[in-house]
Amino acid sequence: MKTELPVLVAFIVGTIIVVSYFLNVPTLQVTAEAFINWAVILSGFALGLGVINLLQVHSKNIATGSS
Amino acid sequence: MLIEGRVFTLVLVIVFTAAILYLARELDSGKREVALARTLVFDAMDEAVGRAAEMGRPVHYTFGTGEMDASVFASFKILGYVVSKCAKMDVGMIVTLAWAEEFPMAEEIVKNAWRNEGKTDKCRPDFVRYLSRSFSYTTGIFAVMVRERPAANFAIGPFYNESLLIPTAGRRVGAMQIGGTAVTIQVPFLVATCDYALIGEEMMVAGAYLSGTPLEIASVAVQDVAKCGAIILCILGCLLNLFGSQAISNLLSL
Repeated sequence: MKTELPVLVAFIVGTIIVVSYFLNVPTLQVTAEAFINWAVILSGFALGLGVINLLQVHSKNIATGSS
Repeated sequence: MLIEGRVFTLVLVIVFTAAILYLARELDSGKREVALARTLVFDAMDEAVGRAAEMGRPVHYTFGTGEMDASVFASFKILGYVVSKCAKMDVGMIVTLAWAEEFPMAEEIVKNAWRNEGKTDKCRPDFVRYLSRSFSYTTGIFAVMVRERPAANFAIGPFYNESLLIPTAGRRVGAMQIGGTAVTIQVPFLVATCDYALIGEEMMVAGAYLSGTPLEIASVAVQDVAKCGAIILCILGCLLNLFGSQAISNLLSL
């Protein structure tokens, strides 16, 4: 379930975005645009993860006095 | 309902998706086989990890500063293979990243590999490191090279100005280097500085070969056919244009 659910979500979102590229259906276009906007927000969370990782790695180095 | 100018592309997408799914099913059931060439680079990957195990030094893996495209996903597959070898041989791993979006995926791949070997306790949080983009990324890798002296350096992904700098740093610490990029202009730099290099499409083939999944192998095989089709269309289009016919141009702009 841990792997299937993200794959299913990615598949549905990807399909909607691809289909909206070819079909002129306003509902699809709006939904696809919303998903693209969500991707920007999600990448913001990924940046947060990256910053936490940076802090983890370097605070450990500072605490242990390693170079 | 269909957007003008995108009909032919839609037809191609449907045809090639159907072909990929059909071939994947055939491969899965064993009715067909697609032979992917095993290049020297694959053997070199095993050799590089083995060398790191013998020397008691870590393996460094990086993706480059280019945006997340197909080559990054192919590189994730290669990372999966390399990290599973590292986990088997108890070799330390340093994965450096320029894009935060790559972080969750790289971390999951590394964690999974160590978990699959039953060595979760040996998987450290600093195996995957986010360095941010541009020169902070490049100098961050210099620091990793100098301080931790990896025995092997994998630089596989979309590289730009760092394509010459990173392998040069690896060379200075005596790391065995395997490079790969689909960015045409950077290929000569990686070829010149690395011991082995994956050039362009070889990265996608390597990803498919190492993962061994029918869907990816089918995708590589169908892409080859698609390329042949595109070349034929180009030649045909040029010839017809010479005789005053716009048939191919009209077909493509449907």
